[in-house]
Amino acid sequence: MFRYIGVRLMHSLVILALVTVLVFVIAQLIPGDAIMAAMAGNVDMHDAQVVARVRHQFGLDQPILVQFAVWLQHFVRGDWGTSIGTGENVLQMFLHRLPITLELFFGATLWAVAIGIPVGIVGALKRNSALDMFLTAGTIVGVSIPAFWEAIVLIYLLAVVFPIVPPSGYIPFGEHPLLNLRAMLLPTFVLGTHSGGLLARYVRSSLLEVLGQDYIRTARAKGLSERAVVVRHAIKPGMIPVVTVIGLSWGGMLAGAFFVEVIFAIPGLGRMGVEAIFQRDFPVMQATLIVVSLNVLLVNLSVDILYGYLDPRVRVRA
Amino acid sequence: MSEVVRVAPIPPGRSRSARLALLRAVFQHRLASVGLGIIAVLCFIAVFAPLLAPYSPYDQDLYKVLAPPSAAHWLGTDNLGRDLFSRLLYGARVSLFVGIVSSALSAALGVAIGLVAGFNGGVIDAIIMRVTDAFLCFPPLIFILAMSAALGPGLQNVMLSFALFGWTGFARITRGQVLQIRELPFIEAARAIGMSPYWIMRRHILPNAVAPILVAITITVGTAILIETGVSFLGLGVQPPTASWGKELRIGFTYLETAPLFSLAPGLMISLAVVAFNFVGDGLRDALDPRLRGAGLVRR
Amino acid sequence: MEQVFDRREFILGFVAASFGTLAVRQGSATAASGAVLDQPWAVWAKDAKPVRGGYFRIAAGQYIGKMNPNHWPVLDWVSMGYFHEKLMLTDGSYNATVAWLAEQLTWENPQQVLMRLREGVTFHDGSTFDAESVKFQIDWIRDPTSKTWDVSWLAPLDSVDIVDKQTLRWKFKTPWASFAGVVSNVPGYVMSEKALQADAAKYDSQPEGTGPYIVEEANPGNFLKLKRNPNWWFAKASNNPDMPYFDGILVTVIPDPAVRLANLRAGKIDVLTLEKSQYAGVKSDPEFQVYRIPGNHVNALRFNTAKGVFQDLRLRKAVSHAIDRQALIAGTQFGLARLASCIYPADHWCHNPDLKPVNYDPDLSKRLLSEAGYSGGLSVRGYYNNTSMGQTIAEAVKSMLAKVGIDWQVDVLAPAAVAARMQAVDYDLAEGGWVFIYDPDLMATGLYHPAGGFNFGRSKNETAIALIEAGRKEVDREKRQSIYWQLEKVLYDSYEDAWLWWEETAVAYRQAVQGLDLEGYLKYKEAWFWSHPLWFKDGKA
Repeated sequence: MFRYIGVRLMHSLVILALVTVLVFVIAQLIPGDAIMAAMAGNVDMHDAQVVARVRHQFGLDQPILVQFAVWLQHFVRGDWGTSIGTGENVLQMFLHRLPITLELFFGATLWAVAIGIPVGIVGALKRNSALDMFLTAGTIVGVSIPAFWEAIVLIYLLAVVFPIVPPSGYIPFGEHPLLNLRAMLLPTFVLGTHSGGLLARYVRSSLLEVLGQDYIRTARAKGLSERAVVVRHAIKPGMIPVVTVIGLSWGGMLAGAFFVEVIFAIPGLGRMGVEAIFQRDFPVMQATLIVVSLNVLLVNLSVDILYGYLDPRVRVRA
Repeated sequence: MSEVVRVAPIPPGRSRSARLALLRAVFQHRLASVGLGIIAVLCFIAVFAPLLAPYSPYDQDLYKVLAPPSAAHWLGTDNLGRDLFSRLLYGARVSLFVGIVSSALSAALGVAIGLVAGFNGGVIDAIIMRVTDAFLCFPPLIFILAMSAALGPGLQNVMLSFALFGWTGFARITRGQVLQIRELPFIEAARAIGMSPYWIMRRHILPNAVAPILVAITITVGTAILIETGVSFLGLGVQPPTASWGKELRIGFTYLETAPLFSLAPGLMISLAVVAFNFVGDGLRDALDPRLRGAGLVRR
Repeated sequence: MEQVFDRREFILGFVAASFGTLAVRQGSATAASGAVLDQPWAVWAKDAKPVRGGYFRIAAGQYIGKMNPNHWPVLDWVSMGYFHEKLMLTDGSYNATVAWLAEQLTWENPQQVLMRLREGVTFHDGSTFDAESVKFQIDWIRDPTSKTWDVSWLAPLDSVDIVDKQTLRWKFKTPWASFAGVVSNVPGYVMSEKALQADAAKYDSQPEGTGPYIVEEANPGNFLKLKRNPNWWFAKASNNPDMPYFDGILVTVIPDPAVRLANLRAGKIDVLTLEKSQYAGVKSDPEFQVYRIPGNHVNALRFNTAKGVFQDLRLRKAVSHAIDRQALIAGTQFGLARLASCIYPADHWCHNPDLKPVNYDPDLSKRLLSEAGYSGGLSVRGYYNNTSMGQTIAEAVKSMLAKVGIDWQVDVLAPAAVAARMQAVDYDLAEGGWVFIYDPDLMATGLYHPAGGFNFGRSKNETAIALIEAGRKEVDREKRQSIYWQLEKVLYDSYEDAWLWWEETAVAYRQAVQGLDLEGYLKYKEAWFWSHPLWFKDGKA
């Protein structure tokens, strides 16, 4: 087991190094820098001297390799620099926004579980019936609708036409828990419907696989009611992929989270990252890419180790 | 995109009847049929847009912007007074084109890399797999966004950016297939006889790997359309005055209050297309899995 | 996500211009008396009974960023004005003639100004505003270790000398006509010497100004909360001890315009600068008071006259006459814009009233094209910004030019890419214009002088350049105005750029907000805005 973990760990380190190289390549390829981006729309930059001065203050007149090397040195030591676009300390920005995005993810996961598991179970139990087809179609539709479209439609239905929830805005949980939850209702729902759809499909197929096993047939032969069979013997093993699916879907949630964060005015990581790309805000962009990748890496690593623990064959094969 | 689908390998000589059986299974699958139907309609629209559209998608009328639906303009007009219905019809061309080409490019790149990895094994395989993993650490949209920003505006660059990320899924699938198949006795036999690896790949490995790749291509078309929407939504992508659904959705979004149809209609088309491709991919996958519905061993 | 004009015009919010075209002619540079109560705008409605109370809630597209105006970046100048005040303000024609924290300006000679400061002003941290604090601040800005971005605005300054506790003498290296304009702009925001000296870095997030509101809580990226300043100097000086009336101001960051409107409708914010497409739906809503206010920006297309086809005047004329400005305004601006003749808007003191907007004449364009040898069609390249509005304008113009046979291959680009092309002068015809036209030299130099930060050599009109340089040195206001009138004529006659429109903004207030006076605002603009704080009916939102 330890050898397995060791190998996986080594792989992860290699991947991390490759990710860093990729981030650098991206930064290198994207033309322009934050000050130039600001130039286009900001007449405070009307003077070439001003532009040159600000670029110099931010070290943007150095070659990219130098900038990146300097940045990386500071980054690993915990100094994430200052955002060129907003002037905030980057680490502070992260720490401010991380809990918010996490809350969004947790909420979305709750919705996904609340929607996905029942739908998946029903789909498996009533396999190939009209209900199953309807549910399958529903889950695929849930996955396919662009998140931003779904969000806008829902805002107007549930926040303007029938003012049930606020149209946007974020209130920190510490400040007012109830209002915070109310404000997060719609955003988490929109984000959750996607993962919910995916989850439903996984649950369904996993449960079907379990139901096809011999020991289920034995339980039925023993005379147990279908309900007892399902509840006592099928559900728990059927849920194994759930955890891993949820974990793995967090990586994909970030993109959806961006749209949700912009539309609902939630100050989260997703929005910060993409805006940084547009504004060529290198410190923020690089930090976001690495942190996000690290997150996915860690999740994958944990899942790998978990699988290795649960299924010895995986260990050997690797 | 990176699912590993377990498929019963088809010994040589049985491929043709197996393929027919596959097609039959797909058609029998109701959802997939619906999907195919939708795709057929969309393709028809795309091809015959010039004949179907009542107006040119480029005719502006600045005194009739954001007009509500009327007899003259069935879906109303857009922010430059152009007929929205015509724009949507022409938009099908761009969106479908982007979806299909992006997917095909990704497949071409990914399959090639996957074959190399799977067949060679050892260090080459290890390196390629780590590189794949590194790419997959990035959220797709962000990576493609960055690539689009780097490459510049325009449709080709969006497709290229997509392929630069999308190859990863295909590489994984292909490699998985190669690994499964190459251990089989008849492959060993072929190698023992002295057949060239290239011939073995072509004759034995590829035909068997085709099925899950096909599933992946179908689903990737839907993903590519969504990505194009996302990229257009954020301001990159297709240049004016070309109509793409993603671009219409983006501009329509700013006028949501005054002209909801402007964003609802393209949004609907996008969803339809993506749903249709997902249905078909779903049906294909179901038809291929020998262990009865569901996806067998699935790892995303 | 909307950038460029949308964001900036929102940031300032209530910038306005009068509907009249009278150019305000002022006397020479000495103000009569600096006392507040002697000023023409210091009139408050007798029957209005302002009530104190409530938090005034504003929505901003972006968080303010740094709160030291001299550090990059500052992204919300409206909020900045609530806690930082300037030495001078601009009047109804955007001329820096209004004494604010500087009570009187006397030009001893074109290279020397005597400035008397207002007494009885304290910073939020309790320290005193006087000659010493201003000198410290100016020296701090010019110190390279302070890393300020606007230090080049003070380039002509030689020294600032203390004459007595309330008086400074400013000495310039050359005659500096823009001086008043500069101290009514970024370097003129007065900051506490005590705070700067203690910790200049901390000042970015904990500013100490003199304004009507004090920074209470800053949540970067999310909101900014300000609370009432009970010791605001203006309340005493104007005999309005209850000013300011709100208990505080809450600025919430909401990047999406549709969501901002939804918040306004839901009663969660008290004022909103509307998107033009939203105006029609909101203007007759009885819940709101909606004002249509002309804005201080010019929207134009820029020509590359350094190389390429647009060195030929006929082709520039062809382009300019091929554009139907009325239709553009109707379709892309929903009618919310004013036809532009040249660079300075109709209510700006440098606007030449004899110039008329270029008329729409596609036949003339076609004739000019074939005269220049392009009867078979002309192909030119360019770019425009990639916001929704930018794309709309680009497409509309492209279609108009196509009708006369000009194929404008316009790329719609993100800001960094726009800046790259602008710097490389890699275009024939591209997006142009200017936002926030205050001192006339800033824009004139920026666009038409070789050293200008938005020029990069694309425009080299010798007569214009000579006038621009003369305008920098002419201290007499009337003579200076005539120089800029001539400049407009020169640029106009040579079709240096194709000017499209001057801005208009629509602002909606909830009915509970009181104290709005459109007429007064149009007449005195910035001076009116800061001297006439608003209040809530019954003291609550």
